[in-house]
Amino acid sequence: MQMVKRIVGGFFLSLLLLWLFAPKVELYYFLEKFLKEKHIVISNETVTDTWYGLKIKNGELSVDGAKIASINEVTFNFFFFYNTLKVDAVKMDKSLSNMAPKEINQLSAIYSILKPLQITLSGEGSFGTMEGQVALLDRKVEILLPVTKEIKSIKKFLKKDKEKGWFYETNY
Amino acid sequence: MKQIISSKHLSTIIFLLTIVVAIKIIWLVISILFLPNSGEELQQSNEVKKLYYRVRLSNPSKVNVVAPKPKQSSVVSMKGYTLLGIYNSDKKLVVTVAKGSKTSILEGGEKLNGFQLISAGKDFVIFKKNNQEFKLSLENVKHINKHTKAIPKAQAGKVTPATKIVEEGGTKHIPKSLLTSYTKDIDKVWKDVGLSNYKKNGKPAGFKVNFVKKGSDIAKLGLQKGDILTAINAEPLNLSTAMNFFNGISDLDNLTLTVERNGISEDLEYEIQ
Repeated sequence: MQMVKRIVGGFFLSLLLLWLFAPKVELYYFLEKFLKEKHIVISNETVTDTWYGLKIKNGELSVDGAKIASINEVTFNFFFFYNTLKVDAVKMDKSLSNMAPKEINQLSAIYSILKPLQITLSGEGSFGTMEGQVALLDRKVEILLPVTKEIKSIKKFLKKDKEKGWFYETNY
Repeated sequence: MKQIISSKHLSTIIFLLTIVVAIKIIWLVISILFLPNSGEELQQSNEVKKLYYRVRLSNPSKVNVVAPKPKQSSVVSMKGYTLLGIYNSDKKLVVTVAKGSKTSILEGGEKLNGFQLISAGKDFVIFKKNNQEFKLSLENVKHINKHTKAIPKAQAGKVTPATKIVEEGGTKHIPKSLLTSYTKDIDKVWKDVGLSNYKKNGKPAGFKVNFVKKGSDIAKLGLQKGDILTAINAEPLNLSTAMNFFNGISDLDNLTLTVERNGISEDLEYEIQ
């Protein structure tokens, strides 16, 4: 019995330590390398290891070499059963002002073990508020905009439904 | 001697420490062997060139070098044009022509304001426009025969402000106001043309034209459904080039869109007024 306790305890401890001791900044650089292959680059950012996650400050997001947005802060927290990604103060590049919302004040994605097959999304910005989900099995993203403000620039990406109001959906 | 810590606890502590050290070592090895120690930064900046000199040195089969024709039936003055240089080999003809402060580099077969470069001698080049031929020598313009016709003022240099796309001698002239109307109202773009990313071997290689609204200004530019836009002013077209083009459109004087149409690459040239 003592041996079983030790093995089980050792296993969970190993998992915890694996994450706590993970070189998260280097793992982030590895992710950046992967993203670069997809022509997505985050530059000029400051990356900090917070033991249980990562904090990325003052990043500039570029796609295909074009600056898309500047991001004030991204916080990624990993607690095994409850993981969050929070993005604060995204300012879209002025060249995209006619194609995208000007500002996203806050955006969050939460993965909880209580809902293992979906990622819950929420956010707020110049477009109003949004809430949605990523259905991992169906590979589907659905975002509802219950309160809309400036959505003229993104209307072409949205659909309208009598019950749901404005919403966006796509499969990946 | 009395033990400070029992052997059971000691073994547990050693067990935990072993796990900690083992995990540290695993990550250290992974870091050193597989993980990068610096991030990626944005390096390139694809600004669209304001003035575009096109010298297509590749694909020489397309270059149409014609032997010089000293005698021609008719000539039109090329006032305002100066021939600055000639490169004339067996396979390639490239000339530099200036008009006012603008300098253009042309290769055999290409047009400048409707004047098509057809041949060259040692110190002169022959252009053709509306079945009339012109000789432009290295220093000045020489008339070949007496049937000289003065070029209309609008063609000779002075450009009257236009509000619509006008085709003149093979070159389309686009009013700047028309272009800026698209940049101010992005929805107008999407109403007139449908574009989607085009990839070659998994890499972005331009934009595919999915539809062009009939009668729209974009249709008048000569874009067709199925075209693949591959370059703007010789800059390979990607999101960055497109956005820089979009932002700097008011500074452009001329524009060359390279499109792949039915597998053949061709240039659509425009002058912006």
